[in-house]
Amino acid sequence: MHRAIRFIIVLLFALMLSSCSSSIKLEIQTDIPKAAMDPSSRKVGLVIGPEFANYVYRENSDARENWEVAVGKSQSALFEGIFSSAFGNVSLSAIDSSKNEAELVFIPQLVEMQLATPSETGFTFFEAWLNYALTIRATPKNKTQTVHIVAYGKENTARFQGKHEGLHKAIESALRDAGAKLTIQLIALADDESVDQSDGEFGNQTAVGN
Amino acid sequence: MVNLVIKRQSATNSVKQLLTLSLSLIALLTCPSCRTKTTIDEYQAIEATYVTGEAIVILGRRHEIDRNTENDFIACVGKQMNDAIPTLSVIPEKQFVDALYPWFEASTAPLDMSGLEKLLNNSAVVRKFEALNLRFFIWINGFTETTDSSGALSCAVGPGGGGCFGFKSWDDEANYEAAVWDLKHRNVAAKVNTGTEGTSYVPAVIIPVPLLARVKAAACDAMANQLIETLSLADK
Repeated sequence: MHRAIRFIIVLLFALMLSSCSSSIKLEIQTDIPKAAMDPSSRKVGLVIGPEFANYVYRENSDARENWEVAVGKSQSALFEGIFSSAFGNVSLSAIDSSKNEAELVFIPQLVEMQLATPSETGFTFFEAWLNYALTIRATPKNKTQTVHIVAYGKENTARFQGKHEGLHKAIESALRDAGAKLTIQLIALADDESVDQSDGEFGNQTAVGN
Repeated sequence: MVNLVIKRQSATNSVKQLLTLSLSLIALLTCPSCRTKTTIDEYQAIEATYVTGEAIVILGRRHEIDRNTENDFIACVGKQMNDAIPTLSVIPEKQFVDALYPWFEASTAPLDMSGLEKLLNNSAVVRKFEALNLRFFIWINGFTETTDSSGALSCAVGPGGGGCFGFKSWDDEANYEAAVWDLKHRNVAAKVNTGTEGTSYVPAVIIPVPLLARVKAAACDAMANQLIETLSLADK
């Protein structure tokens, strides 16, 4: 009887210690729907390179010991979904080839990812920021432009919700926001005939987001 | 010897139970302010009528950086309206936001009627609205917060048992505003404001006895009931 009680106390103590650990290992799973829009007839290419498809956010500091957040799979699915909604003819590839016959070729890159927890900020929510650089190449004249998409997501703290779940939901929310801002950007590009006809660098470098 | 210990333990348990029961009774009898107080304001610009089979969607405003309208509040109002008006279909918020992705996200949702007018230029969105037979949007903005708290509770566990001692109380306030947008007439049909406040208490002598003021639930009841009165069936 005493052994059983001692075992339970040790187990509870171990559980308490493990919950205090700052280590995080997450794989972001999302189910972001396709965009409600009529696709443009433009033929475009989307280059999802291995770095983008397998992106893992890593941090190892005193406050954030062994943080690993894999977002590659989710962000690839998000970009593929949004592009297939926005354009009727999308060719997907892992490398950017000059032989690509698409009118416009899009190469996304996650240039920055930031996370914040309530214990760090003093707020009552988890936060995530994603900064994407979307390089657009108009194939006839090989002109390029880079558009930045800055996305933000947050998740309120809730009873019995741990750090893992809070961060997961904040990142999921940031990915949804990225998809929304990407859609708006693609609609503007799909309507802009000057994109692939101008001699110089087309458009202005724009930052979408806050 | 064993019998003596058992008897002593059962006597202690009886004292504990008696204490807890007395405390609960005293607290219940002396706690009229655990009740909530709600104030409702309504402004109806035009009659908000619908025909059987038309749908509404209740959406929370989430564009502010520090405050979000809670998902559970939206779900609560939606459930109450769905139960009360069987002739009107209430589309669940998540289902609607996913079906219309990405046009009702925090950063893209229309903030006023002119924003909705722009969205109606998107034929894919219009088709979705038609498929859902959508008639009214109800936008709810607000939140429930704890405005003041006092007292303290402390609990301890030892080899012989555990218990809590102390007294804690806090005030909650729930302020919500709903705007009813008529998709058919493209205007704001009505606005409803609810303000609810209440104080909760937790006295503890060995066992804590929570006496909670259900502020958010009361605000949900008030908002749902007022919205039910605002909408009326045209073909009855």
